[in-house]
Amino acid sequence: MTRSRRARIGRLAVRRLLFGVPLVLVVSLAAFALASASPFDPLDAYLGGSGDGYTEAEREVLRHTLGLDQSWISAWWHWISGAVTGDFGYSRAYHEPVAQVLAERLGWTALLGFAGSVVAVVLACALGITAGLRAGGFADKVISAIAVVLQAVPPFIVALGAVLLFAVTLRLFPTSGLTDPGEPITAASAARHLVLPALVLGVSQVPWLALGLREAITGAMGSDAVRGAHARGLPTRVVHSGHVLPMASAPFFALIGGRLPELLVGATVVETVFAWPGLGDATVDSARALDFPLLAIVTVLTVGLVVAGNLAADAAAIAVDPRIEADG
Amino acid sequence: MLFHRRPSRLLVTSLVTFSAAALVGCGAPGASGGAPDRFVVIDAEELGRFNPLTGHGGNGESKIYESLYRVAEGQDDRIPDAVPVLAEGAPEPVDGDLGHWRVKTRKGVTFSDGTPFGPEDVAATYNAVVDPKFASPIAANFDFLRTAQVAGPDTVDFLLNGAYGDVPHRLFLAIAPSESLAAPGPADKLPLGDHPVGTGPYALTELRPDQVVLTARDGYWGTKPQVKTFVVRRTDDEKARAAQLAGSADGTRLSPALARAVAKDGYRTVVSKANDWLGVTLPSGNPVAGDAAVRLALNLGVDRGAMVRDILQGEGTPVSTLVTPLFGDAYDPAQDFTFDADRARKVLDDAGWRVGADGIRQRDGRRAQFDVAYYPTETLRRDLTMATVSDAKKIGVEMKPVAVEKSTMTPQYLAGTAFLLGGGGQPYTVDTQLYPKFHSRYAAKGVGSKWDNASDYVNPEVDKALEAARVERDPAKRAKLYRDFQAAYHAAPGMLALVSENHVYVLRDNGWQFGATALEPHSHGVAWGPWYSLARWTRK
Repeated sequence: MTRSRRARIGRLAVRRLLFGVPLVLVVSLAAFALASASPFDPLDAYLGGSGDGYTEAEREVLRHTLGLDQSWISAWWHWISGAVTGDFGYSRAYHEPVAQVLAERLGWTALLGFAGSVVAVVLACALGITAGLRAGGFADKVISAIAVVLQAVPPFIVALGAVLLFAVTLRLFPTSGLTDPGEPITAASAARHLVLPALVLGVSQVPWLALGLREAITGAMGSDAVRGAHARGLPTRVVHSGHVLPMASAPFFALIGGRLPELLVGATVVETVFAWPGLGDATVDSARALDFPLLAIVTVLTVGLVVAGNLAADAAAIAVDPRIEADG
Repeated sequence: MLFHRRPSRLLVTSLVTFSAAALVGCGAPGASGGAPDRFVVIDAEELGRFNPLTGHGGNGESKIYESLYRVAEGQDDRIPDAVPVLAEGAPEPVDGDLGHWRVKTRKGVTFSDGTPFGPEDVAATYNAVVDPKFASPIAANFDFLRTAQVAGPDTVDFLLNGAYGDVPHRLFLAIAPSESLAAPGPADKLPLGDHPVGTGPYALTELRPDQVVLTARDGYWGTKPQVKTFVVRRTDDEKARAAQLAGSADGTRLSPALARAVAKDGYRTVVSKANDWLGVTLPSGNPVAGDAAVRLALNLGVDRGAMVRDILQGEGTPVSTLVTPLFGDAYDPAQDFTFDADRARKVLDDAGWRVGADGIRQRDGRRAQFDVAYYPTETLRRDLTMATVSDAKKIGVEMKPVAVEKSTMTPQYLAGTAFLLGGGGQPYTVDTQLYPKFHSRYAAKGVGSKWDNASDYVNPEVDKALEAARVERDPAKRAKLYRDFQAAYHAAPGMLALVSENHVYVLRDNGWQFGATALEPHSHGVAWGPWYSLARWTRK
């Protein structure tokens, strides 16, 4: 890669990060505002099944004692001023400091997300290239059909189906958790327990990526440059590897970057089915319990993922395709 | 770079990668049934809420904590006895005063951190639960209690807010060490939640986001349990729980139909009777729902038996007055409503509700029509609402189902709108079931919670029976007073009680022998069912 291209990626990164700070502020503010407009009452979440016994007056006292009576804007200010000093607040949904919830769960979600994306990208490359280079052929038809069907099946069903087939029937993999029940966490057992959720998470992203890559490749195949290369008599293999794939990879990277946050959404479902102790579950729980501090940090992390995903995609595009100007 | 290879080679490479990954995973999956003294269950609740002040172990079901009394198992055909655990014998009223009770505490008991247990721990725990500074979510269950105090060595006194006859059944709170409650603050921030210290047969040895491990405790004052390790995992979704059961767990709770589908090949179901009822409020503030004839006709016109059979899959009982056979001599079967649509129609005819052209009745220009609100997210409530709506239509009453969120349920809304209500959180006294639900004291605005007497029902005969029963110590006389209540209620019902559901558990049949289950309140989970008596399980 040339020095100027590297410099361009650097400038791009700095610009995006500068843009990310106000974005985080706005998004977190919006998260607090939207959450406060939701029909859920954080006091009901706190009281759980025993909330029925209180008078309205007693509920007000409880609200005050628990600090649930402040407006969403002051709750946000409280949260953001604490977060700047490294204090992320206390999670009502988990009865733990938010920092502890993150420490216990973020790593597992990251591991699952990373493994899932590797699965997704590898499979999507294999299938998308196979289908794209022989568009209209038998393999293309089969792959496209499978992708469309898979895309239409909810990830939840895919996950349960995978459990039934691979865990319950074939007994290849464990059904849930980080380890076998009661056992300590080791690298080997975590890896064994990771396989199935990572496969399901990855596979659930494959249709978009594979179909996107197929489109990009067929597009590139029809371009003037490729037709020109064929006309110059270059061997097919060289045309494919030297022209078609680099041209198709830029939109593919953009697609991957754009789909990254989907991994978090998909992780929510996959984590639930496989009892994988990550942040996906925590996202739903914190939203239902109006657990502002946890909800805010999860939202901010998601924003971070979106920004980072797009940045990585654009940087990769600049790196592989000299014609791209990126942010310009 | 990936893209400089030939596509076919890429495909092969990725397939090889996957086969390798599959081989790594090829070890034996967790055969939890293999460890003979370990039992693994999947709960639907969040793991690690071990704080008595947030409701953990509130009926003696905790494995870590113990209470003065717990619910006896094997007595699910009536209100179970209160079995002394940390108490020696039954509580006694001091000088016959039903507002002042004395309990002797057990000697020679230590907490899992080695500190001795005594009456000061009992007093500290009960006082914390009613202290607003702790903001305990279960404080409302203890509104009868003014304060608890140490009254001598191994003696604790309970001073109540008035005379109260049925005291042992209100003393099920799990007891924490007084030291852990020294600094008042919101209950959910107490260290006890993650670092429980109790006198019970198990101690927490691991708390992870995905599993909790409880281990039988050395130094426990009672018999050491034979199940040495109790592992609890968590999965919210019941279909996922059913799938995981076959792989790595020994038991969980499922809905009746799913439980029956899963209970084969070495698994079986255990059904626990529960007092977990559902019914429709008929508020006095609504001119149709609050009409005496409409209330009576609906009670006669709904087919509760069909609801139990079709909606609960047989796992439940019809409920007419909130008093059920569980309440023993206090229950009068003659006061239950039997399904009689013809009589229902006659009641409405006699009251002047005439059938209109569209089959819906009218009186003085008013249609026999009102809304019934329900939570659409809870399938059981939804199904019962629809069944009620359908039955009501057959006798000429149009109930319009309205799906609502919890926040819609303001006291004002409930005062005019019928609602599918659930209850039974504190099922272990007849008084807690009936008094707040039917006494006219709770019909007044701002008294009690919005769910108390949500129909704003006023019936002086009902009031009289409930008040007299609350302070009556003679069980036979008290039972008679509750039968009087039922007769008065039957003549002029205040709501439309429907059914009570049982709880269904599935577990692996792996050689453990356990006794009967305990009668369960609304709360359920892996602390209940066959696991209520976990510490007393034996090997076949």
